[in-house]
Amino acid sequence: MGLEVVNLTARIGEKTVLKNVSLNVNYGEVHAIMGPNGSGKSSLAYVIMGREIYEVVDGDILLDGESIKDLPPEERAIKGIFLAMQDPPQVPGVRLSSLIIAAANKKLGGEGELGRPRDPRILKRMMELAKEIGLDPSILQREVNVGFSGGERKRSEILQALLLDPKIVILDEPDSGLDIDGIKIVAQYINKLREQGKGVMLITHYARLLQYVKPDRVTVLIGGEVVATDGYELARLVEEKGYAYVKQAFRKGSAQG
Amino acid sequence: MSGSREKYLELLRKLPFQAIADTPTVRYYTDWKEYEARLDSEYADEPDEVAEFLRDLRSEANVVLDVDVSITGLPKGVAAERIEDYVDGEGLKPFTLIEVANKMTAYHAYRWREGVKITVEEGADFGRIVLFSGSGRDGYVGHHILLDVGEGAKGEIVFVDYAGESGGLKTLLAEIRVNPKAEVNLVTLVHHGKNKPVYALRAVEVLAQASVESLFFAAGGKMTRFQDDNLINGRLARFEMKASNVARPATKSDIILSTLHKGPESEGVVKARGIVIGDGYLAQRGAAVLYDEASLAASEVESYVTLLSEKGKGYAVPVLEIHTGEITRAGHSAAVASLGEEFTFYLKTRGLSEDEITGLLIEGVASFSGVAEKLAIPFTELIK
Repeated sequence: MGLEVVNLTARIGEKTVLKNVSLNVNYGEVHAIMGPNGSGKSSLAYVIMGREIYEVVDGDILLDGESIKDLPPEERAIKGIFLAMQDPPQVPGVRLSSLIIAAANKKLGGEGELGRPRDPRILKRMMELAKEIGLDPSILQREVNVGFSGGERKRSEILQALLLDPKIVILDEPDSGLDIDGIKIVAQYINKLREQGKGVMLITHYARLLQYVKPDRVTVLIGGEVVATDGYELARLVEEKGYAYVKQAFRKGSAQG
Repeated sequence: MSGSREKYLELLRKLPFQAIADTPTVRYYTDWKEYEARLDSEYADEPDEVAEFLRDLRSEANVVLDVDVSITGLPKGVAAERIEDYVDGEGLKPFTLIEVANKMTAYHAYRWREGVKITVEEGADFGRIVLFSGSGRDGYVGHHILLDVGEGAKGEIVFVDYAGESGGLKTLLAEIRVNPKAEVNLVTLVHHGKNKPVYALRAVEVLAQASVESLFFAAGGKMTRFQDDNLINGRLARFEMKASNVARPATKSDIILSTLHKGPESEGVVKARGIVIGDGYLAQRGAAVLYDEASLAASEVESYVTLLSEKGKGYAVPVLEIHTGEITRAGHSAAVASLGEEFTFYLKTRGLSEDEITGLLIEGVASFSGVAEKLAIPFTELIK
């Protein structure tokens, strides 16, 4: 069980951005989504998360066999889907710790003030985890993404994914803008999420990150369509030969097959 | 009225509300008409009722100004006296740090009646002083505060500028000098009702090696103009401010938080966050000026305003002027953000509904300065 995307077609305005896309993200697996710029990778993440500017024209999105296609983003989040955006916006005035506490409270459910932790252990946990992933814990007192470096933004999103304990984690280019040390740290925690049994959908341009996170499955998306799905070797083929070659090779393969 | 005030009547007639006229590229952020319509107000006879959440603070206050002045229980090393007119002698006098340069300062200079001069002795560890400037019911009050913090003194000053819900007009001018090596925590709460425009101008002078940590919260009213000019006027003087400005529905605020550097190696930081609820209006302005004598000074101004509704208006206007050749650093950043689709979506992906997002943002901005926490007032009271 996990996340199933079934024959999904979606558009933004008049533009169709996903065409009949099907894929699974199983628990305890990393499914890498690769593709060139503008191939629909981020759109796929947004549509799974329920971003309202996208319209699902056809198909379905299932979490543990239950359709979530018609739920608003906040309910999808509460059901266990977490999206780490590629370039998350600044939220002036709101401390990172306040956002995490509010989100954790929502996840736990129940009544009471959103700003007061319903599980006080989260305070200690966020300090410890921040340190572990190489963030100065003072970042928790800073406003969400305000003045954060590129690396801090990425790690802050990973920190939230680890703390909020989702079932499915969608990471949209978590390696962009990171140096090699940053990539290694992010990779370590993606592997940790997998070990914890979470399903990870890992969106990336390049196979560089995949040297440190060996995906269980790789899907290549071009022009909003799935052109290839295979194991880790597909990522290596992309790295060695490029997207155009992969598109050609798989088209030929499926024609012959 | 003393004879010395006659010159101000002349200035009141002559001076404009602001020096630069409104043009297509220069605009008024203050709605001066609200003041103009009330310049003929009679003096108020009785004080406005104070909102319940502020009554404890008012009771605790060492100095209360409304239609009268009361001084009680001053800490050791602190003296205060009522001033009713223009005083002679040493130290701060009215208009030492503030120049009468526009119609509202001239109006205040001509009409103010309740004044106080507070002096903190050199080296005093004065704990906490609470100054409460209230308002008058359906009439005019003009308050003038002089505060001189002696060399090496240390402590916290709570400065409340409150206006109740009746009509009328209030002016408040304050001149604060922080002498060398003094350390002051300045906690400012501005809370105005929806029927009385308030014109406030505060000048704080920070001298050599003195430091001021300023926490500032403003929830404006019918028309609130609060100008806070912080003159960092000595070598190694330091001023740091965190400000929260909330424009509630049907209110207008023009909040100006400036650092004016004249001290070499001085340091100034202003971080302001604003939020506009419903059809509120907020101009959050700030100038960082590094004058010629402020060599190796460092200054930073940040101003962010979030609009929660399309009906609201918000401006974040930072100005950075550098007149010296050598600086350590100078930076400014500002943005006005509406509750855009991407912004809302991001917070929804954390499981929050639209109402919860609004609540989180209001609480975040209102709490940013730390004033609510410091004064133990629930932020929900401050934004009601």
